[in-house]
Amino acid sequence: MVSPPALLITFMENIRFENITKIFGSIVANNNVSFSIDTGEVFCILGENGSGKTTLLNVLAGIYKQDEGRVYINEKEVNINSPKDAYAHKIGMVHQHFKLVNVFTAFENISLGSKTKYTVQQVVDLCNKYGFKLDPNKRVYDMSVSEKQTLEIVKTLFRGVDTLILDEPTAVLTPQEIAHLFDIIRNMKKDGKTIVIITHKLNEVMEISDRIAILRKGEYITTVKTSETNEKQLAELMVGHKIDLNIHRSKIPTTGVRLHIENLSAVNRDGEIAIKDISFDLYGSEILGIAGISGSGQKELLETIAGLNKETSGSIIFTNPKKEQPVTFFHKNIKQIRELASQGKFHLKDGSPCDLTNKSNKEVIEMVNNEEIIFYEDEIIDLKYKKPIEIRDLGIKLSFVPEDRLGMGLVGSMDLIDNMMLRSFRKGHAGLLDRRKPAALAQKIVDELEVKTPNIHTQVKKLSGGNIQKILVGRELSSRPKILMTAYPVRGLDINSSYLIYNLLDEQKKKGTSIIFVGEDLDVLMALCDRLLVLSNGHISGIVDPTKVSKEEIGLLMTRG
Amino acid sequence: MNFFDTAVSFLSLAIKFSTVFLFGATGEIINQKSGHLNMGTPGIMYFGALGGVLGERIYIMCTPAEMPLNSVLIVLIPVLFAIIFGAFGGLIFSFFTVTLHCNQNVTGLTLTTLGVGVSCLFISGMPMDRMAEAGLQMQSAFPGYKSLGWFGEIFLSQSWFTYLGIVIAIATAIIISKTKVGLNLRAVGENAAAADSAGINVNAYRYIATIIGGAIAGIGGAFYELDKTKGMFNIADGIDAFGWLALCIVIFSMWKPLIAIFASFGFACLSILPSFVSGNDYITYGLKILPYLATLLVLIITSIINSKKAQAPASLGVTYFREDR
Repeated sequence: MVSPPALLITFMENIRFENITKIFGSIVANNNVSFSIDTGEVFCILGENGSGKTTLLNVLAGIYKQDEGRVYINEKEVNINSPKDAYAHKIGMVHQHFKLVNVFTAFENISLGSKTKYTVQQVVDLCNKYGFKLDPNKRVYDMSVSEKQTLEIVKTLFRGVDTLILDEPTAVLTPQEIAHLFDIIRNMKKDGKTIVIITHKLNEVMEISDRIAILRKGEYITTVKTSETNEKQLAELMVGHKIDLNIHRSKIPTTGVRLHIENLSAVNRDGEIAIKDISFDLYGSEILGIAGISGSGQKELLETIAGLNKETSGSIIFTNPKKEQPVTFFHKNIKQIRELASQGKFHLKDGSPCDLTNKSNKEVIEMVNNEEIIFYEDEIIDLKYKKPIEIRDLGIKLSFVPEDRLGMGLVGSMDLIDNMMLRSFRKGHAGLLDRRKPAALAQKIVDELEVKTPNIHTQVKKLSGGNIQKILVGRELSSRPKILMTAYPVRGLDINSSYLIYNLLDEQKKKGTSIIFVGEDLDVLMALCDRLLVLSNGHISGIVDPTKVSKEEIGLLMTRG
Repeated sequence: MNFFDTAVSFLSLAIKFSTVFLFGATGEIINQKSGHLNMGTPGIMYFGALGGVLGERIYIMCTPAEMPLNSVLIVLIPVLFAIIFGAFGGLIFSFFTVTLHCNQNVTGLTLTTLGVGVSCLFISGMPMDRMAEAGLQMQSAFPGYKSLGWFGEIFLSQSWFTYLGIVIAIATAIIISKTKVGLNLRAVGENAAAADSAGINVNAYRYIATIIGGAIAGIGGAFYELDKTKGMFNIADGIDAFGWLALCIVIFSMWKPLIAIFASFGFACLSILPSFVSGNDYITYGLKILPYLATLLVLIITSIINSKKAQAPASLGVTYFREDR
């Protein structure tokens, strides 16, 4: 191959970062990053969460100002102080959290802030040119995530950009939408545009990019050609050491029905119908995955089961596998035991009926501790209209690891011990708190899950996302749940922590826990879950075996109806 | 006095009162459209009142005692001063919230306290000579209104301030909903980050909107002070009460200046009702609760309606800093 003349090389090079450093408080987001992006290529910036990808490109887009270093465009040093300056250099960015005005129409969003006056026809023409599907008169709040993203891209193109930065563009799209987006990216590349994609998804990088720059913990590692690398090498460059990218799915037989949900409908906090006519069974020792476009009712379904949402109809029947098992104080207090005994729910170890009416509390406690009181049958409890506290008082071990860790799961400004006590503050003596047991639990979680924290008296919000999640998951698992519900448990976590969480879930499954796992990464869902329930627009569009269907089939289910 | 006459004078007075509300509400709408929940509006109206009284004093002092006061200048000069003082209040608010990233609620409440205190101090110390004469001078814009019967009495007997207020409200409505500047302003208030990334100077829009809004609210304060009390300061019947109700009118009118014109009139009717109803103190003071009861009612109704189009600007009360993470 003949090397191109030197003149052409300088012409090809479009954007160059030189020693970019950006510091937020005590966190060094980018440290001395230098590399260049060529004209007309699809260039991926690959790195884990928190590796500084978005920060770096935000410097280019005029959102952040670098503390040190220079940016060159076509070998000229440029000073980009605002998004406006970035547009002047024909650079536009589509942020992960869309910057759209909800109450405006698509057309109003496009013409926002521009000097020239556009017509609706121009928008339609541009959409046809690249293959966008967009209704200029639709308001943003009526749009799907994919439409919003399309609008963001169209908006940026209308400013005449030559370099388009996409931040995690596939995070919330279905496989079909991703395929369409990639078609559009290829069309734009044909048109001579430079596309920069920020991502952490290896398979997509391999599919779409020409070259890949890898960042790790704010440092630039290297740039590789996509044709000369593979997923394994990229993962190692990203993480810095060899990692096992396999998710374990233990094959163990399921035990009986743990949760039976029939025709469940519920409204969300705004009173809009969020889930309708949901029916499924959840078995012991299984992971049931829930897939769907974000906002299809995943969150509401979990919240409804946990008692946080109002059911409008249907039933949630919980079966506690207690048949021939001794009753324990772990699940019932003495008053509940007496009440159940009077209903004839128990027999004694020797098979004789259990009558506690004439026994003193002390005697009952002794009998329970000696495991003398045995359940006749499994406990069957209807959870409908029950609040979380009522569900817990019934002795039902139901754990919920919500999407919003610091909003619903933990209190950021409290330390590890106090956060442990959120689950157990009703136990112990009246009046004064007993901190010893929660402290021991906190220490156990820190040790077992390798939480990186100075000590257990540190405020939770000062820890990184991965460590916060480990604490939350650890606390929920410590209550030995019968049912564990978790929504996006690895959101914002690095690869190592993510795999640690997947393995923890699998371990729990082996212990007999029923797990509902709401995820966004279809590859993970398909590798981890035993069954996959697909939600579309609040109802079930299918329950499938992930080993027997393709990603595309699931994608179709996600958009059906 | 028969019922008809009472009704006519009631409506006429209601329109006059509504002017104060309207200036306050229009100013606040412009503020809020930029995303500034300016609770300093009551204080800013006081600033305007101080400016208005000061302007009038200066004009009276510069006019020889034997010369009659000019009916145009007696309006124009106080208005200019009110605009400057009100704009200054808006400037303080913007400086704290935009430049120093302070909390909007705290800044607003502080500004109100400051405005009330400073204005009370200076206005109460001012000499009162010829203030009543000046007050009479600015009473009506069209002296010939009496020939038009009840229509003239209600609609044409008002001072220049009232007509100015309506014109400003209509102009504001047109600018906000029909022009590019209005679109940009709404974008700033709805989603500052989106506006910023579209190349709109968010800080400039917020500064200017708040200063203009403050200036408009200031005129309202000046009008109340000059026309109703004729420079006679009465702390029990403070302007801040108007300011707080103006904040409520903004919500009631769903951030639309045209609706604010009628909402202001409604609140004015409730405010003056006690002085038209004869009865004991219980009835009078009971009726004085009405505007505030109506405020509660408005909040309940708007929270029930909860329509997507009639929402507060989404970034209302949110301080924008581009490098926030």
